[in-house]
Amino acid sequence: MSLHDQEAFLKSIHPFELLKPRELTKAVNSMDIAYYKKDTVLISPDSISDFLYLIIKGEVGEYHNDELIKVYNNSNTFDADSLIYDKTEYTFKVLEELICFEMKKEDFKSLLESNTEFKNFYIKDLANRIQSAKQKEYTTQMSGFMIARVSDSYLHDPCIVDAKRPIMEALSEMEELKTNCILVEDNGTLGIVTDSILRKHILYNNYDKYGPIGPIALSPIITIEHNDFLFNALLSFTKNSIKRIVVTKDDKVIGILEQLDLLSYFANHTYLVAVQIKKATSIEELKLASADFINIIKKLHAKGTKVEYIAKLISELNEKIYEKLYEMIVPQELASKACLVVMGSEGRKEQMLKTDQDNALIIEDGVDATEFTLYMEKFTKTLIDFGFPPCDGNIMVSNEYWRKNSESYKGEIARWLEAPSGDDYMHLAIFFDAMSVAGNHELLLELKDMIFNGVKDRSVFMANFAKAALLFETPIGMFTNLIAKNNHIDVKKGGIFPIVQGIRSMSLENGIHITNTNSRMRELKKLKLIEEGFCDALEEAFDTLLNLRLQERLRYFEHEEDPDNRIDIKNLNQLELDLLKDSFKIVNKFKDFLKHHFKLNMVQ
Amino acid sequence: MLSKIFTHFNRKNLNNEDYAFLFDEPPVDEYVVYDTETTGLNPKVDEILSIGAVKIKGNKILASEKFELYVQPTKEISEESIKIHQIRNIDLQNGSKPNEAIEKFLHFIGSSTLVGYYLEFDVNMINKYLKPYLGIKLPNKQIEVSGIYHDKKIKFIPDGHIDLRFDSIMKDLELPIFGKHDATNDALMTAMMFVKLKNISKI
Repeated sequence: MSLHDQEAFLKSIHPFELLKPRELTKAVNSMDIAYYKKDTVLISPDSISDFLYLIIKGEVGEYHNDELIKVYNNSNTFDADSLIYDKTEYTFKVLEELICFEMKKEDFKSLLESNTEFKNFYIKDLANRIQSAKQKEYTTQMSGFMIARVSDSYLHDPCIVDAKRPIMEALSEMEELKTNCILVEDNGTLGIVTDSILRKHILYNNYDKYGPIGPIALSPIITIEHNDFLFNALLSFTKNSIKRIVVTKDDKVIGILEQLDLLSYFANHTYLVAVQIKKATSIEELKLASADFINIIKKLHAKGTKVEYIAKLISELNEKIYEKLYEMIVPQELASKACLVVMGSEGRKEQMLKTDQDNALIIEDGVDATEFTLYMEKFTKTLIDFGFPPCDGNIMVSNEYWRKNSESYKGEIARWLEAPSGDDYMHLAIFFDAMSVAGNHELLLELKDMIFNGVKDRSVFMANFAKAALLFETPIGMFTNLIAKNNHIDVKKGGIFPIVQGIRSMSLENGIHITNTNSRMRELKKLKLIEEGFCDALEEAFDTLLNLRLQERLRYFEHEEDPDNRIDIKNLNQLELDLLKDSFKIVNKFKDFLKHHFKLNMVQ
Repeated sequence: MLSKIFTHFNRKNLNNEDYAFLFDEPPVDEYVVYDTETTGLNPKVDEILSIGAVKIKGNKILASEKFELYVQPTKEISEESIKIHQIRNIDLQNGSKPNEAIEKFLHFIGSSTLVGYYLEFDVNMINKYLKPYLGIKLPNKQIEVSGIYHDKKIKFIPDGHIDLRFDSIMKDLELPIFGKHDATNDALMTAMMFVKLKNISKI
């Protein structure tokens, strides 16, 4: 009878579809229907409700200090947090007359107890919201996706055998454990044996299948800690082109994460693109693979993935494209005699949509640089064809200045450091962010070491380098009002660049090799050069600015306009405006910090 | 005044003091909405097949304490009526005997004010069993939902034609329709109408 209809209704509300039939019936039987007039306050910090509300019809607003931060309407539920925690900082007020189901706190809690999936939805959501409340981050766009840990995914039992174990025995043990690979222990070190390794050794190399398994195992193995983000596992799969990864807990193996299981977590085809790139045999095929990036970005962004991670993933894929293209264009005998580097935002793994190319070639001393000319011209042209626009400053391998012998670079670097003028600070900054993507990596390392040694005890130079961070005014006024021109704010000048430049300066000063801004921040935090709480806030501000810019750029992309660094504040909601203000406040604090740290008042 | 006299005589006719509670003062701001499914529209010959009821306290519809009951009819249900309410003979095999059903129903409603849509019919249907059994008619106060709706509506369209069909009222009040029409669903929806009408001054 009607029980049926109510069950059907309830089932249509996420996450109630996760309930088992018995639980669903129980839930329906325990709910009342309530009617509330507009402006009724249902929950407030002073009076927490005893019910979970499920909206049948109407609208409810969630307020924090009189500021509307979220609107709930048909089929939404609220407020699990206050029921679980018995307290809240938020007020829930009826915006449009409301008819809702009410589920008693005890009944809701007993559902949480009896159904783990159901519980996970609320608990994960809660974890998200605690994090976001801290920085007032995006509440709605975040999903369980980003905070999923490796241990949240299905892990296969590991099959660990001794190196002396005959292969056939090891195989039957593996089958018993229903897993797809064998870990081989040899005096404390682990190796791995997979299907493809078996095939290679037994079928092709006629290795004795009753012989010990030790000699055919591949080591070292690639591992990931169980509490690491699943996202990093995905990065590792892509980066290492592997299909499974060994999961450890305090360095002890606890399971195997298979690519397939992980992919079920990610409804996009990042991995497939990586495979496409890897398998490409012609420039045309490579181009096709790279064309799909925009879709990946859109999907990840829609899921609320932190921009930092989207950028890392995309950079990982971009690197693969560069590497492959270099391989295709430059003849083998020349390829290893040079190092292809990407610089600027790409070097920092912060580029997402294909903005512009910043790349260079470092050629081994003694090799004639002109031998590369034709290949590099083709390289730049191909990248342009792939949709990477040419660099305005002509910082590309097709430009002779960025395609020379190591010796010549050393001469330039020495000049940048000793008698800098004009663009030299900028060139140093760009080059300092270089990351090698193909060829002989040593060539870059050598130059970087030279830079680190060159800035030691050069506080005046460092101050001049760092002061670029103060070049642009932060677009926020005395009363924390946003300063916009025709409703537009340049977030790069206003916040992104000051953070990047400030962090870059501190990394240069302290010999930090990593190029990514977030990673640099973490490193500086570890070295106690930036206070932990402030550094966290700075990271959040950085992410917020990148996120808002990406959002705006995706919008541009949809309208087929050229993206820039400006954000139209008319497109932002109240929460986003607040986030933007908060971020700029943090940027101002950071500038003060830099002034003090580098004694910027001493240089003009 | 007349209703007091009626109540007085009605009370006198009660032949079982166990049910004296029906004549208590009705609880404040508490209501019972109920609906019946019957074999037809004539209380003289037709029988009750199911009763659905739900309590209202203030602005809350206590769906968790709803009343839902099947009643065994004395004769086979006709094909005609099965088609309308979709209650088959087999559905009633485990149903209650009529007097049993009435007892349970009376205990559920107590002395609460009754609310319904074309309530008079449902009250007559109950009385058909109640009168011969306990000697009385339902003594509870009664509120007609379509009546309240009509009164609120007529203020704004005097002389206008007012559509009093169930689904039309639901639609006009912008209330969600819960699945198919059966006694409990209808009681629930009627309860929503009532609560909403109670809270608004104009439609």
